[in-house]
Amino acid sequence: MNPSCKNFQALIIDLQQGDPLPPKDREALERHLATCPDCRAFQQDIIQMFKEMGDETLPYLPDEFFQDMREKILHGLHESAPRRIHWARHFPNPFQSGWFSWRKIFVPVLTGICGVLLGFFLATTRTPSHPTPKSIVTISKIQETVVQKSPNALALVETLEDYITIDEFLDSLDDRDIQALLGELSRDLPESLLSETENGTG
Amino acid sequence: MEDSQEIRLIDLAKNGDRDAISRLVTRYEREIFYFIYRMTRDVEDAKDLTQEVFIKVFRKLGGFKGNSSFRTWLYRIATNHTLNFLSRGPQLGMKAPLSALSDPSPSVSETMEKNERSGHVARAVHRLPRQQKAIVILRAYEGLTYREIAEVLGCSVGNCKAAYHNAVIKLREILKNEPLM
Ligand SMILES: [Zn+2]
Repeated sequence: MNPSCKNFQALIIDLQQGDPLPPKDREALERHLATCPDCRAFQQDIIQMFKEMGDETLPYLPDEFFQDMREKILHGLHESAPRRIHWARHFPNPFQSGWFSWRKIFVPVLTGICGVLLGFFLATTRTPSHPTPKSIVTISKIQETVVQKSPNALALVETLEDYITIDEFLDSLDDRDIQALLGELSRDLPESLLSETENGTG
Repeated sequence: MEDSQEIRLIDLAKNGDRDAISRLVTRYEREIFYFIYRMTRDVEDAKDLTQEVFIKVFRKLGGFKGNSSFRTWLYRIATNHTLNFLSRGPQLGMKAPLSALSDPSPSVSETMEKNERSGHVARAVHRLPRQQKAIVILRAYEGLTYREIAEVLGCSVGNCKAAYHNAVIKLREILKNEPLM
């Protein structure tokens, strides 16, 4: 097999797949096939292989199978939907209840208490409660750095996209997930990126 | 790109419309199920994974901006989810030698021979490394274009093409090393 065979084999695959080849490539391939028994054998094998792929019969599954699947999906979506708190059930509308008569006292007093609490909170809290730079993982950076290098990272990044921070991400996993992902992380993420994330420079 | 009815269903589904979600699932459930089945070769695993994929899809639907088609986006999530599943450890399915029959079919001998041959190729596909398996199934079985596969796998069209050619060449080697008896 000469070195150009690999290029011709790529053309053979595309041709048998049904992709039209540019006339120049097609002529070059025909000339090559006339002189190369290896590529002729390759072409026969590829034709046979695609034919057999097309002949495959998939297991028949009744409509009930898919109906059951659909119901489980809808049920699963309902289960995972964020629970909405119906405040109206817990606090009656002040304008329709006895609270209304207190409005001149109750509303300013409540606002004042909230203001004091908020001021106290802001004055004493030095770090924001939401993701600190330390824990933020820049998804696009991971994508750029890793995705081209490792197939496993694709699945990892896909999962990460659901989460803002690595902490939230880890919180959401069970033990088995954590074992699997730690394996993926140590294999896929470059050392520099891992330490950068841990050191808070990311 | 989507037809206008699909775009409308997606908008409704984003707002949690149960009927729209159900109709979108109905539209794609078989295609996605059989794609995952080809990746896992196990009906029960494929069923569980398909359910998880659709739940994930609708949970993330707010982030779908329509830059790719909804179908390609579905395949992207299905592929990543299934690759993630396959990376967790060796699966039990398809461990029989390539020469073994995939499913005994009570049909005429010609059909049986066809099934035997296609089952033989399917088992060879199952032996590919999972990333190569995904690319072969997406291109050769599901008929996605290189451009769509590039969107699904997040690689360039050129890299996808090269990866597919390498996978097919490897598949031929597997078949050559364990021919059908
Ligand atoms: Zn040649």
